[in-house]
Amino acid sequence: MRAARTTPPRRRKSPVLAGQPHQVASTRHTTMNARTAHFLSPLGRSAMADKPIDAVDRRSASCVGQQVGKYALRRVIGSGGMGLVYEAEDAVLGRSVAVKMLRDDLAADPLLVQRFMLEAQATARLCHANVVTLHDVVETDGHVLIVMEMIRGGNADELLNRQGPLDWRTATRITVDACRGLVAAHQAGLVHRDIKPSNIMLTSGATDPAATAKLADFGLAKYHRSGGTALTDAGTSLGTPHFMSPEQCRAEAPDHRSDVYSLGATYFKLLTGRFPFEGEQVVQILFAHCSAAVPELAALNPGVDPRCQGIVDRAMAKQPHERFQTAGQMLVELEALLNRPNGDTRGNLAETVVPGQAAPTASAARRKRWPLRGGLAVVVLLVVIAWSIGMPPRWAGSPDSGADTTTDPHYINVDGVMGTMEVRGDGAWMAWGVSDRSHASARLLVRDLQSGQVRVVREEKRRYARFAAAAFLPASDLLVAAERESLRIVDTGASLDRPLVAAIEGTVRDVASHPGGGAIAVAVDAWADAPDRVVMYGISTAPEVELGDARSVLPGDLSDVSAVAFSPNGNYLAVADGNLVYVVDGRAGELQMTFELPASVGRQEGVGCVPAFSPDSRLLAVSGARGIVMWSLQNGRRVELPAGHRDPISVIAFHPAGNVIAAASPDGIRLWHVASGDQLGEPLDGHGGHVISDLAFANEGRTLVSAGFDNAIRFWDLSPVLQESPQGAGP
Amino acid sequence: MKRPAASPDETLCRLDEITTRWSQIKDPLQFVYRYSTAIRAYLQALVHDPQKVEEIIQEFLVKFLQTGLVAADSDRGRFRDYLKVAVRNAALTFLRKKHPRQMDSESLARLEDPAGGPAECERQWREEWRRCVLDKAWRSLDAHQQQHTDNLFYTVVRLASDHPRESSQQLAERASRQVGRPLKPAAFRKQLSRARRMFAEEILCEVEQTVENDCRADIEEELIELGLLEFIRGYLPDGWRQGR
Repeated sequence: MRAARTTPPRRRKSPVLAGQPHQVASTRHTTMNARTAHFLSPLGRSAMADKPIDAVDRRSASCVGQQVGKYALRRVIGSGGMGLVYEAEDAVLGRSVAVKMLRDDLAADPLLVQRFMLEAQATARLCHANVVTLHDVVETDGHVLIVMEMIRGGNADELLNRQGPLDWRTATRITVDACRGLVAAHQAGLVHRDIKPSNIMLTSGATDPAATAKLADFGLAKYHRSGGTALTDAGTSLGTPHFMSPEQCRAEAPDHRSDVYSLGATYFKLLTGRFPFEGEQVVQILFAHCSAAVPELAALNPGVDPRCQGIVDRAMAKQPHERFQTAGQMLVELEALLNRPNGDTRGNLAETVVPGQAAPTASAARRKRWPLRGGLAVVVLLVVIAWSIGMPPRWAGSPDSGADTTTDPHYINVDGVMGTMEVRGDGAWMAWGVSDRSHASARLLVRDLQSGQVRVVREEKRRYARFAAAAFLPASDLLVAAERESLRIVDTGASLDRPLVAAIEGTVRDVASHPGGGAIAVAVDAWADAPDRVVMYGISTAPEVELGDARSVLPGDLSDVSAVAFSPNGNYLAVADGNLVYVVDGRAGELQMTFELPASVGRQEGVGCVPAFSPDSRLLAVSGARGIVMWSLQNGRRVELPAGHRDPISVIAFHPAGNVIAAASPDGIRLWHVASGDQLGEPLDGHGGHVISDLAFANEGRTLVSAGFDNAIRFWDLSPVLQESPQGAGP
Repeated sequence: MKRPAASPDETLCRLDEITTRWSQIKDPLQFVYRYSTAIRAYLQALVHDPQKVEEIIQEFLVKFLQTGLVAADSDRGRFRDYLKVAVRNAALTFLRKKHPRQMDSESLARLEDPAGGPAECERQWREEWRRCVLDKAWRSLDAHQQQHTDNLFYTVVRLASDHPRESSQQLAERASRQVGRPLKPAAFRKQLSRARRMFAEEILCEVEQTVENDCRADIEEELIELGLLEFIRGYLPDGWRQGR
């Protein structure tokens, strides 16, 4: 079965798209029904468009100067499809507020009243800096009022009318804020359904760096999740034609990705001052939303950063499954665009540059791959390529470097499917694996964390190749990489012309390198009915790189092995097997202790837990589905951290200072103070809801590196949150 | 396509429930939007000029809104053919009216050909139409998955479609990575079987609505012509064609 090609060829210029004059319908048909009239109606008079203030009934407009309940209505400041918006004064609290009053002629319609009240309920569910705050809902003196935060900077549409297309940074900053509000709305189960520039309020002039954009008017929002009232379900087209998603045009049930489309169209308007699809009739615009290619931004505004086009194109893909799947994903791209070196880096905990001047020191990072478990392999066939085709390293910047990295130093958009990510113990280098999207090959890349230079150190040109695990060997440039059922030892300094290959009977899940050198541990998911196992290899690096004999640890005891980790002092090796963690001697491999993940932190059914040792090797932390449990290796005492994740924790890492632990799940990365159990700062949400597979501290613990299934690697500057921590958690 | 585990009678029942014919569709404009990419591609193949394509689309839409689906002969055949003729006529009318001097004999011959123009135009129309039908089915799976927690219908069919040579274990691993939670091969296979059934039903429903005659032979003919029967075949009960 082949997927249909759904997006029409791009870049076809048309009179509709380019805004050239086009033919207007010749005559109106005399038997035109109401619906036809609506679709043929010129824009601005459409029932779907915002009503001009002068079209609002006089009775409502006459409320200016009146006292309605405790609110003194001062002046009309705007209007939406359902009523006028007044600036008013709250006589009791003595503050200015915005009051939306349902038009009297509509108030007689119980369905509309219900929708109006739903707007209030929908907005009341949100409390976010980028959503206009709802203060109150009042039925008084025969009126229905929604009392909201007063925003004095006007809206983005007014800004466009005043000054035309915005500078791309300003447009992006406004869209970032709106996107943040949208993320919050979607998390609350709301679909806005009417994202457009006039629904984005600005707290002050948009060129003011301190200005904040807030999403307003949830008048069309629908209580999206189960149990809600579906006033605007499929069959009823609601929204504004210029910003409507194709599914809204087709009257299909829109979900949150419809808002992503509308935000993309809004972004287009902010960048160009033009609608994506222009036309004099509603039907023409809706048809274009369903079938026409998004016009080139540069053709309408040459000053737009070329990367904006990619974001607009993806947000405005015709099929929902081709768009950003969440507003969070779109936010990641927008922020990455904004946070480039010359861009505006406003915002808390934004990803920032890894300081190149900082002296790299030991980071003692612990990481583990998301331990996916497959079933039993059918074929027990091991193909050993003793000396596969050697490949000289290729430096980034050369034409065939693979270009896995962008010019953005704090964000790497992996060109392919992310395999593994690892940071060297001294914090100087990182490595990651990536398979190309056609699954024809996989590459292993390294990056100098000081210079940002990237190079490919290994490429496997075979189908379904994947670097699933890697570990740097201490005091060397060597990297052990697991490529499915083989181990490869790669010299990142390129002194080896061929990698050392060892065959593993089974699929490698994880690799760990002994901190003192001379040994590695490999977690192997066995094929067929054989038990899983952990194998320790001796390894020598001089005069030749050689793998020593293999020795199984815990033979016969493992059924679901997923991860291995050495303690920093090398005394222990932790082996995660389902919900059990075995601690064995770091050299001899003899069993020392066994811990079982308590149900209180959530069992990792079918996934496996993740072990991490504290830098002083005195604590063993293990991730549960919801929380983290820590055992003292000296007295067995157990401490639990709530961790508070909604989704299962996929990876944890200790800060080099040992007083902070990071935990990651699809709902973000959280930092926890080990002693108090308090969360530090806000969650770091940079992977758009995807599984975060790897996590490591670098740069003396000031930087956290994360990699996720969104195929991105991000660098987080933790300095602000560590410094602001009341516990003094900073290193 | 593997034969589904569920009873084929379910499909038969579902099919019997479908009685709407395209000429009875209350909101034909939604059909036009649904097949808008096919209309656009067909016009582009006919007139080779994006600007004229836009103008013709506007003309066509205005006329379509004014007249709706014309009640004419009792047997109007497929909606696909009806729409193609309507689009072509709109092009012909528009070009004759607006650009009479630009109409060379070849263009006129192409537009006046009752079969819809040369083979290339016909091929373009059929392929884009097929894509629209498949897009609709994909959207249905996608929407179903979005609306139901734990459902992976769209994900599993898409993965199986994109990686046809992979085992269910490999596909399950991919699915696990994509959705961020573990999925065992057996669970993957189960979802895939059900999802394929739904995919087939969506295609069948869509095609069924676009043929005027509810004879199963006509539906099958349309499925064959559009190259869609391969998605359906495993889900049709034995003797389906003789059923009505």
